[in-house]
Amino acid sequence: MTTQNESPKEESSTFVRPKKKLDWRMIAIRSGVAAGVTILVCIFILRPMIINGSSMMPTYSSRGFTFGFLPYFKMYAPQRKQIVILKHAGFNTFLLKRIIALPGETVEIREGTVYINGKELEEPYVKYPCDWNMSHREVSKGKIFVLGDNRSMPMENHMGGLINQNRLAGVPIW
Amino acid sequence: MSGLRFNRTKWIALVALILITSAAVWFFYFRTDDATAVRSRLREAVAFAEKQPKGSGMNLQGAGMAHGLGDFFTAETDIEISGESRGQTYTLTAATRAQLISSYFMLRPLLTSLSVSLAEIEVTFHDDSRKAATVECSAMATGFTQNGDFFREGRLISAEMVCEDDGEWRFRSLRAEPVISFD
Repeated sequence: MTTQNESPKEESSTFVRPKKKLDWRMIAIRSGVAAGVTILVCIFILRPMIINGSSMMPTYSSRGFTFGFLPYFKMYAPQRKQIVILKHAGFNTFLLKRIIALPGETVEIREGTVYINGKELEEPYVKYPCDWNMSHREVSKGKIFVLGDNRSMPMENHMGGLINQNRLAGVPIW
Repeated sequence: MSGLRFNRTKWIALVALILITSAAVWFFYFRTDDATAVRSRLREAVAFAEKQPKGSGMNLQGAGMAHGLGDFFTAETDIEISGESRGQTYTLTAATRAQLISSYFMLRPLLTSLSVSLAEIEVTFHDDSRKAATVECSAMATGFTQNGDFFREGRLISAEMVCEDDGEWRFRSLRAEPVISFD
């Protein structure tokens, strides 16, 4: 129930702000700075990427989207089974692959099963049948051996294998 | 009304900004040192290798290509394009200047378009005389074959270049290898 004493209180809490003129110059400067920072972040730290191709299926489907965290390998060393983004060639093409073997290790594929230093590698992420064979080879210093998760195509049609470690660009954030 | 009012400090800042921007543009785009000359030669060579649907004629491009390759040029590449419409497969593994150019022109009619982009260009001069250099870069070739198939091929390029007596930088050797491979 409203009493007579409460009414003046309510009125006193409402007030009208004086209409402020928009400072377009400040809006333009702030928008410019925000756009610049966003562009720099997208180029050097979190690069938006569209996944094109089926070589990482079913982990990543074609036409998927992710962000690449680019400074990752400035802080951490690459590890086996890690999904990585690799610089291919040119400015705008990257490869999304999984690290299988590291420098100094030997890798071999028999009937689709990968062996690292002669020991079978467990790969729960490989869901499609694979019948690849690759003779024993050593991963030399400064290189890594990468493969996609989808190995259902013939090996000649799959972009994988040895790549220079300096082409590691980052990791996907999901 | 709050307009742009320029006092003396703002004018100085504006002039300084213009000067810095001009210097940066000159430094990155118009400076002509040896490394820039080498890079320009590389880009020129790529431009001659490209093919646009309505581009310049083969003879003009052939002459341009030949001009950029030195007399003792050697090439080592594994670039292969299959021309199914003609039942042919051409592989660009030529050794000499003449062989490379003739292989390229055999391969060229199989493509509707070819464009090449270069990245990560690194120029290393062999000595202080700066008359010979190693150039390393990555190249991405994209285009369409006559069958309408899209292709995208990436290669790591390593080239030896020399500055000849006429002051022109020319290729002495060229090596293209896959960025990633099972071998």
